[in-house]
Amino acid sequence: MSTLEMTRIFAAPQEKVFAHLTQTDFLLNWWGPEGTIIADHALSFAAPGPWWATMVGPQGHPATVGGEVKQIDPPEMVELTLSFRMEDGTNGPESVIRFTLDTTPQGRTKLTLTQSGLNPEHIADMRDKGWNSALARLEQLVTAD
Amino acid sequence: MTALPDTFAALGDPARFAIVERLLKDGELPAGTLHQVADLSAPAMSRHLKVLRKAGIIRQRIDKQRRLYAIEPTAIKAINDWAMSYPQFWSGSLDRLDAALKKDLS
Repeated sequence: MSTLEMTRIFAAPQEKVFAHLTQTDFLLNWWGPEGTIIADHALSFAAPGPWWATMVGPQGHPATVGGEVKQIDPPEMVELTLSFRMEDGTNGPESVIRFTLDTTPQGRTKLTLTQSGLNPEHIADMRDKGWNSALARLEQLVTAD
Repeated sequence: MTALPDTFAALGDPARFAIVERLLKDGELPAGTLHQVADLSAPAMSRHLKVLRKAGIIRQRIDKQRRLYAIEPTAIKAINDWAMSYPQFWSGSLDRLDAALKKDLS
């Protein structure tokens, strides 16, 4: 199991960053890279419970992600699960996302994002379908230039 | 647009994957050259090419007597977008969060 960790410092108060991280109206402004449109959603991390979002990328192909908000401790931490919803109705590998906020001595807000706990069963399932290696190789090929 | 599971199913076969890999590397190729990629009979090769075409992964062009095959870039794009790694996803998202926060404060 691998864990992805990223940190960012935002020039904004912690309460405000927390609102942007958890509330629907704010989330819709930033969830997904540039060019992503949220076509349909139940996107809020403000309380425990299910969430999902169908995103349309710049190339117009929709992808749905979803999961469950597990824990919330305003304005410091929110933890949720995330997986891709496949077109055949199954879910991709599930991971756990945790956003943690701290206020720096300069009064800015440090966000630590971790993504961990990919479910070994799902990974095995993906491997059985032959997707993992094909995707990994294909990704290498198309990004090789 | 072809559904991604169909794309993956088509790519799940080692011979077909080898064909796609070769076309990604070399660009457009005539059917004759593709026979060298995998050790396949002509009917088997033409069956694989048909599966790949139906899945929208490759396209065919006829030039005089020759059938030429090439990758359909939109299919590869779709796969690549789907397979976009989480670090890219988050870093792109957090850039936008930063911009949204700046706008909200001004």
